Amino acid sequence: MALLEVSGLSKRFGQIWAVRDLSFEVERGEIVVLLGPNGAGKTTTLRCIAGVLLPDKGSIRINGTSILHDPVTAKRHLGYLPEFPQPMPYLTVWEHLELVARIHAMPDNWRQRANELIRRLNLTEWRDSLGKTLPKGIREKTILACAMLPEPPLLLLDEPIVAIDPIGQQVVKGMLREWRERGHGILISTHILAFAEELADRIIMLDRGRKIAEGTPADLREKVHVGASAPLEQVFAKLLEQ
Amino acid sequence: MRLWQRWQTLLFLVAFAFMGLLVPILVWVSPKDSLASLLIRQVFSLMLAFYASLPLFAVFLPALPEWKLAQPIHARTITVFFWASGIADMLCLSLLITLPAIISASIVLKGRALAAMMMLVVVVALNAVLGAASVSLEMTGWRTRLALIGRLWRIWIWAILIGAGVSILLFSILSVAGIRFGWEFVRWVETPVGMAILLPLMPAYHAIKAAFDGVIAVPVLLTLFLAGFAAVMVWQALEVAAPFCEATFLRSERQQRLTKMGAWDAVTQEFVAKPIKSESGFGLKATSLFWLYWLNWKRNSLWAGELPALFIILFSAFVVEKGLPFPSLAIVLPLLFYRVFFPHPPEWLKSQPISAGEAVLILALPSALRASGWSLAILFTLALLSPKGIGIANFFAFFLAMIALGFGIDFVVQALRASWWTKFQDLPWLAFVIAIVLGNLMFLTLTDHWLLGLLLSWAACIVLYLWAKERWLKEP
Repeated sequence: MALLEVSGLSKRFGQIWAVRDLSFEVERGEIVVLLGPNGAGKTTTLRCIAGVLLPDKGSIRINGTSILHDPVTAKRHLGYLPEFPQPMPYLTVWEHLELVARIHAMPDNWRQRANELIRRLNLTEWRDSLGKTLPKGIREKTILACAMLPEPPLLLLDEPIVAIDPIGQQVVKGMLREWRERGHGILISTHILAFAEELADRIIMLDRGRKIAEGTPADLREKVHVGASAPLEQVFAKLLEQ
Repeated sequence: MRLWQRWQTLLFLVAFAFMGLLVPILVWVSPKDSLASLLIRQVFSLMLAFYASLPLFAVFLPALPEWKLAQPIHARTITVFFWASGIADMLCLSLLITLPAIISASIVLKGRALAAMMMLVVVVALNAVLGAASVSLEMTGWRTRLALIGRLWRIWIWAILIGAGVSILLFSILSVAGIRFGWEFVRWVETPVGMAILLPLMPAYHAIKAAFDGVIAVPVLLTLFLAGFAAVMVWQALEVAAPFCEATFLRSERQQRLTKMGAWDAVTQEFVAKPIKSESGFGLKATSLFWLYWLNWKRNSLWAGELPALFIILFSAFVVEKGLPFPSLAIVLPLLFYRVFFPHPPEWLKSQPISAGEAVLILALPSALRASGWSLAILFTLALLSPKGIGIANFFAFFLAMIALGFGIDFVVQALRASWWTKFQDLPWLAFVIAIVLGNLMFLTLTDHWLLGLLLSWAACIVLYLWAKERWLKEP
């Protein structure tokens, strides 16, 4: 059984299908990247999986639990970083982590984990700052820490490094690799092709809500008949042309 | 048809039914000759005239975002477009809350309705247009030839509003002091001096009165006057359309410059950049949302509003010592105020393992508690003031209905995400809330109908809960 099973997922806004009949899986110990042009349906897909948006059709199972039928249990198995992470304005960074720990009813050792996340994500000097005072990159790191704190089997990250400085990006990439090694599944949506190339075990290309290609970066290169050293940008453009 | 459309259609109809029934029932269950008296009709019409003139007090214009100003569209065209949207919002709101009640009241009273109703529609529309034009003139610094008249008009309106507030204060003090007063002073409204002093309200006042007494020359002339005046002011406002856009542009440029300097946040918010002491939380799973509420209440200084809110509510209980509707209405505004200042749960919080139903309910609980506390304060105040006291059934019915009201208001704000005034499709919901408040409070104040009022309150509360839950699940 895969960690995440998405089958026939469809979501419509008005007359427009944001996602249409999308099926894929994410295994334990795997990083899957969703790629696609603007409006391809990447964020909508992540929102449906995270349980913040109800799909019109299809099923989503996380660790064997359907997010549609038992959302509370399913959400215990996921951590989510949205595209626009908004901390609560009157909570400090530390209090965000405590809130998440309380919602998940974590045992007392959550503090150690929280301190470790704060240290690694270089949030120490912001630990006691209110959410409304945080710069964009720190907001992103704070919500990322919230997503990682309960150590969920599945991480859903929507543009996780966009606002983060280069050193912070290195740290986040390192942490994601570690999580993969430890058997967590990670689903990332991004526009940064270098980031996708560096981390992805598998790439899923979306266009206008549909899956147009899926495979390892090497598979995709083969599919569009370009050399093994061709940049991912070229593969991306060719896939869209096709 | 999608779910939200079904909800909206259903609630739209229910809202109209509530509002449409409100006034006729009030008239119907009151002593039959209550509105037969010219005096009471005058009081009634004056109150509704304030209501119908709402746009004159409250019209606002949306700011122009910078990217729109950079488009190759004539400044005047953009301004007119924004005026139109601002006017449309206020117009719909005014029509929605005013007309159904007046129309149905006139039917119950067998008023000579059609012509008067048409006139009233026109008056409400003109008030909205005039309000928008005067706000535009104000924003551009009253730089046209006839702007002085518009400026005086606007000052006039506000003077009337403040005068009304002062009068209510005076009467309530007199009332508390045991000095009785009648409503005879209202006769003064229709004297030449009274009409001159209250001129901005007079078109609406006479249009409403015409619904009961028939159309005569006075309301027609006043409506024509308002139309002429509104046309002149709109023409004046259009003359300064380009400077208006320029002024808006300068404002947004100011924001841009301050943002570059890193000073925008400091100017616009009470910004606390320095670290504070993180606190230990309380609650587990969904109940930890209480902690979230507590921190927001404490750090957003919302505690400072508790005493003034209680004062306003108790004061309103003093004003109308015999009935519950007025103080109950006074509860709604502080409730809305408190709820709007609680941020909408962001996406990451919604992805936490809490059920939607539980989260919606727990987030609404503080509002319900607050409403129940306030309702007890009102009830005890009224029990002390009123010579007859309050019946036990009415006491509990009111208390329980106020809890439903607290929940209901909270569910509405949760569902609308504090942005309801910008969405036309959400106006029926707003109308529905007003209808619930007015409708069930009216039933509650009638000794024999307390059970109906109570049931309606909780039925409405359940509907709103389902709506809030649905929005939680469907909106990111």
